[in-house]
Amino acid sequence: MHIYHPMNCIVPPHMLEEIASRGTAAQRELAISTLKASEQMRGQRRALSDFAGAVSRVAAVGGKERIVYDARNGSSLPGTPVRKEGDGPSADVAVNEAYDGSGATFDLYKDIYNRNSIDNNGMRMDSTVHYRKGYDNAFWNGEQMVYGDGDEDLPVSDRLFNRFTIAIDIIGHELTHGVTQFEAKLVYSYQAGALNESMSDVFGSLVKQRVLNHTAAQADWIIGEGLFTPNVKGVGIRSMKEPGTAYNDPVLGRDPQPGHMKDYVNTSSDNGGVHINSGIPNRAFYITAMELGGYAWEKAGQIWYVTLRDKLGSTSQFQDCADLTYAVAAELYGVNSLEQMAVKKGWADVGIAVGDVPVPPTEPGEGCLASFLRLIGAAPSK
Amino acid sequence: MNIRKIKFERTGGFAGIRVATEIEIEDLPEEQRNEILELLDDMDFEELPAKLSGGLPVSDEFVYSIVVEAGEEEYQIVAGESALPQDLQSLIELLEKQAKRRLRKKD
Ligand SMILES: [Zn+2]
Repeated sequence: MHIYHPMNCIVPPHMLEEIASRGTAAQRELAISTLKASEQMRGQRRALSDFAGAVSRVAAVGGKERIVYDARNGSSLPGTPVRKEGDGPSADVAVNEAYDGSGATFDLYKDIYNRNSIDNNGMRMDSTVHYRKGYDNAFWNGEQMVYGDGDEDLPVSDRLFNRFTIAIDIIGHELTHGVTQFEAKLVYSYQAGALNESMSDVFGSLVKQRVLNHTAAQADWIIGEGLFTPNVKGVGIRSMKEPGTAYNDPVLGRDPQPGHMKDYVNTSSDNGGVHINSGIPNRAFYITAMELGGYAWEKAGQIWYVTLRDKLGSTSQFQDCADLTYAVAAELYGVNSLEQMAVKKGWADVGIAVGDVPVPPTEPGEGCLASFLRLIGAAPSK
Repeated sequence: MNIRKIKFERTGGFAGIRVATEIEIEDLPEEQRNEILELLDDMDFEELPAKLSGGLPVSDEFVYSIVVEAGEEEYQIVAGESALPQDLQSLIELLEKQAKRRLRKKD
C-alpha cells in the first residue's frame, strides 16, 4: 500500500521566504500566511517573526559563513562570539572543533550535493559551545547548534561523556537537522522522527567518512566515536552497521537500537523512540552503500539526499522512505540499475520490501511551486 | 498532596540514553525532602498539564517525564527541556542529580 502524503508537495520554505521578503505586499502576505499555516513551520516561528534578522543570517556572497559562540557554562543563547569566519584557530579545542566540523559539513553539502548551507541560501552556521555545566548533550534548536561539555563537572573517574564536539559526525548530525527542517520537515516523533534522526546520522557519518577519505568498506559507521570516556564499555553511541552493538556498559546499559523491523521498539519515550528505531533506516543505508562500494557519499548519499530534499514529507514513514529512495535510484541511475537493486537490498535486509508495487513518477516541488507562483500571480496563469 | 514517591525519567538527547530513578520521599534526607516538596507545592504540580510543549521543536533535546504518586493519585508531566518553566527546571535539576548519582553507584 503506497500512500502519498499531501505534504510531499509543498513549496520549499526558502522560496516562500524569498517571496515574503521580495514580493509585492499581496504576495508577501500570502507567502507569510502559507509559511505560518504549514504545521511544520513551528520550528521557524522565530525566524519568521524577524525577517530582517533572517536576512542578516545569509552570507553576503553565498559562501561559507560560521560563527562559534561561547555560552561560558550558562544557558543563554547564542552567547559570546569567539571565532568568526576567517579567524585563526582559538586556544579552545571545542571552539575549533565546532568551527572545523561545521566547515566540513558545509563542504560535503556544497561540493557533493551542490547545496548552499543549511537552507540552500547561504545561511550562516552558528554554533555555541560550553553550554551549561555537566551537560551531556548536543542539539539543534531550530536556528543553531548547541554543544555541552559532557561530564566535565565530575571527578575524572566518574565521567562517562566527553565534550560533544569531539566527534565530527555529531556536528554533521546537528547541522543536518537544520537541512531537514528546511526540506522534508519530518515531524520529530515515531517513524517520521526516526527518519529525521537517521538522516542526521547518515549525513553526519558521511561528513566523517569524507574527511577521513574512507570508502564504505573502510568506514567504521560508528556515530559519536570518542564521545564516551574510557570509563564506558563502548565504541560510540550508535552503530549504523550493526545497530544495538555500540555499547554495553554496567552503568549506561546496552545500546537499544534495532537493526530490523522485527525488533522495532514500540515506546512513547524519546518522542516515540526516534533515537532508537533510527537504527533500522541507518542500517538500510549502510547496506546500500556497501552493495555499491566506493565512497558512500557518492551514490548512496546522492540517492538519500535527493530523497530528503525532494521526496519525503513531514509524516513519511519507513515504508515511504524505502519506496522513495527506490524511486530516486531509478530516476538517477535507471530502472533496475545496480544502484536501484542496492537500495532494494538495503531495505529488504531490514525487513522492508520495495518494488512490488510500481511507484508512479513524480515531479515533486516543481508542479506545486509553479501552482503556488500562479496563485500569488508571480507566474503566468495557464 | 500527600506525596509518597517520585519517578523521574530522562530520554532522548543526541545519545538517546535513558536515565531514570524512583525516589521514596521518606527515604530522602530532610533538607532535600523539604526542598522537593516545597518546589512541587509552589508550582501546583498536580494542576500542570500532562504535556508541556514549547514553541520550537528542538531536535535532540532531552525529554523528561516526572510522575508524582500522592495518596491514591498519580500525576505525570512530560516535557522537552526547552518547554520547562523555571520552577520545573529547578525540580528537574535536583532529580537529575539524584538519578545521575544513583546511576554511577550501580556497579
Ligand atoms: Zn538528532
